[in-house]
Amino acid sequence: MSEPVWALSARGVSRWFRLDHQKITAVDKVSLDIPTGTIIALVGQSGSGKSTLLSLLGGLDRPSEGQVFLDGKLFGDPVLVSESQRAELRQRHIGFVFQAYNLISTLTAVENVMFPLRLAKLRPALCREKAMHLLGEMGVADRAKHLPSQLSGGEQQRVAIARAIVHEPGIILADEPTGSVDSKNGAIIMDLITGLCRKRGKTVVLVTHDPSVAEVADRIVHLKDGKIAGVEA
Amino acid sequence: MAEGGGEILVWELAYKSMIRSKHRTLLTFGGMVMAGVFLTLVLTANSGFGKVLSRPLRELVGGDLLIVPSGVTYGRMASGYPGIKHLPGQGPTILNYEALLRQAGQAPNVSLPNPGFIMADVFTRSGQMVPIMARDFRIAFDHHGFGSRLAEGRGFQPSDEGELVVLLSPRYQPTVPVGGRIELLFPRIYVDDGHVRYDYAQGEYHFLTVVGRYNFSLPFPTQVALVPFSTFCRLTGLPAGHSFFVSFSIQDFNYEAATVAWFRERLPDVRVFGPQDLYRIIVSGMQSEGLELGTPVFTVTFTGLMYLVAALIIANTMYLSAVQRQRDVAIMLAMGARPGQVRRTFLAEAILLSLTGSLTGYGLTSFFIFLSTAGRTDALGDLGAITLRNGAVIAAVTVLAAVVAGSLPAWYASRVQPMEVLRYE
Repeated sequence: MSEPVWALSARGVSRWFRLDHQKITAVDKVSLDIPTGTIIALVGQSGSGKSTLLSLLGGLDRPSEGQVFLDGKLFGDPVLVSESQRAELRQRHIGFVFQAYNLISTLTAVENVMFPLRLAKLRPALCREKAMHLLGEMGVADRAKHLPSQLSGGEQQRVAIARAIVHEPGIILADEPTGSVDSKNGAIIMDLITGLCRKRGKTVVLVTHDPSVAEVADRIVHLKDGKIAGVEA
Repeated sequence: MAEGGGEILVWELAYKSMIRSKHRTLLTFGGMVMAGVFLTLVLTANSGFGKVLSRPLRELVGGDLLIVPSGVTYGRMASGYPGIKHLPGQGPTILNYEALLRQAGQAPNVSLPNPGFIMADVFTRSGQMVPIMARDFRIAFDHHGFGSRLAEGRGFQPSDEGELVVLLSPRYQPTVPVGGRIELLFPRIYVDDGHVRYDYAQGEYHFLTVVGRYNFSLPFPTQVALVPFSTFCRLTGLPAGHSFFVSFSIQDFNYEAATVAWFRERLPDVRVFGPQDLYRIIVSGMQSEGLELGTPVFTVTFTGLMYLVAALIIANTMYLSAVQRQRDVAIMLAMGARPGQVRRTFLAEAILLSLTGSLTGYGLTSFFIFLSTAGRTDALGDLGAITLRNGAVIAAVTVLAAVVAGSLPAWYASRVQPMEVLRYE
């Protein structure tokens, strides 16, 4: 039988930083396989390394040692993968949702959603059509022409989710997606993420410290001091 | 699916950032408008001085006048040196071109008559050119310029006919004795399909007779200098046979003065004029119109400083923008934008900001110059020489300043580490 191809796979991944000549290890030799189409929650206390691990899995950062594979292809390596290669893979395969929404401040809602498609060099008219369709699904089509500063937190996060999935990536990485909204909006956002991802067969990796958010996951990975402390199904 | 260009996205992002960051944009824009205003003033005055300089001689000669400063190369001249009017790509320059066009347009297939006079020199192999003045004809020796014909040794036939010229070319003097004839070919000029054409095959030959040869060391041995004797006399009103015009390419004013002195010493009965004398005629003409030939050093320095300040404004604005927009840049990178795209976006924004500002300055200044000089036929009217060429120069200088000033902030912006920025938000 051939080896299964994981959506994301970490092999002995570590990430450390130097601060005042002191080595601080944020992620310590983590190995993790994430099957395609599943929702994984990374949980742990503040400083446990969950956001750093998410960045490594998403190619936003380069591991200090170990390797990350995306659909079986080398994606993260201390030396072998360039920033341009990681950027290209990110653009094609990964969508990000952040706690602070992180919409581009000088672009309107619809332009933010169009952005990943524009990077993929699709026709602007087609990008707009797709973006408007998704904003409609998210219930914020009427705010399409507004700048992020003119939107509420919940609206911004819905726009951010639309942006994360508009280019149809296989993997969604969400860092505390409900962390900056109230519980009502949090529930709506989680419904959107899980609903859309289940419907479209996406792989989702969530970072959260909220047990009710983690509950939606197929697997919960507990992190402590940069290491995997346990996995529950 | 059809692709939209990545570069379009870069410019679009730059444009949106510019129009949606109004305060930042307005401040930088203001600085660039000022820089554009000053550069427009300097360039306009520069073009205007060319016209003002030529005014006394224009009046003397009638019609347009060409003034080619000593040492101007053909390449520089072809690129449109201020004060030079020329026919692109056709070798020696014509004067009174409008009159020529009028004549050709009124009578198609007409051959223009032989020149009324020549006071001209020719291109040399080194590309150097000596002052040219002429009237009512186009000087056209051949497609390669007079120098090449001389080099081939085909142009000289002894004859008693023709105008009197003085040959100041040590290299060619052995082939042209005093009393020898120099052959010039003038093309047939006609209008075809709205364009003025020059047909050398059906051209007309004209002969000049060499009446003097002066052996002195020119800076470039291949230089050729011809002085039509009678024409300068006619031009200046000096009696023929007693005047001499020294006309050759000089890059060293001391050398020029020495040469003129050399002639004066050996020709005591002749009034010898050099390029500096010509210049003095122009300046006296200007002074008679109440104008002074001011040094452009102050204005050029001032404008240079303005642009330096403007460049610093751009650099500062773009640097602050890079710092303020770290999060935007980090998001763009997280979405898969390449660092190069981020760099180009910042550079594009710097270019857009400065270009719109300086061209607005150019437009406003040109408009006010136009208002204040329109309809004036005096020297002040000449000074208001608004040209699109000046606009192009301003645009080029601005883009250069923006690229230089914006490069470091753009590089800084592209170095953002998305993880570090986004993690701490």
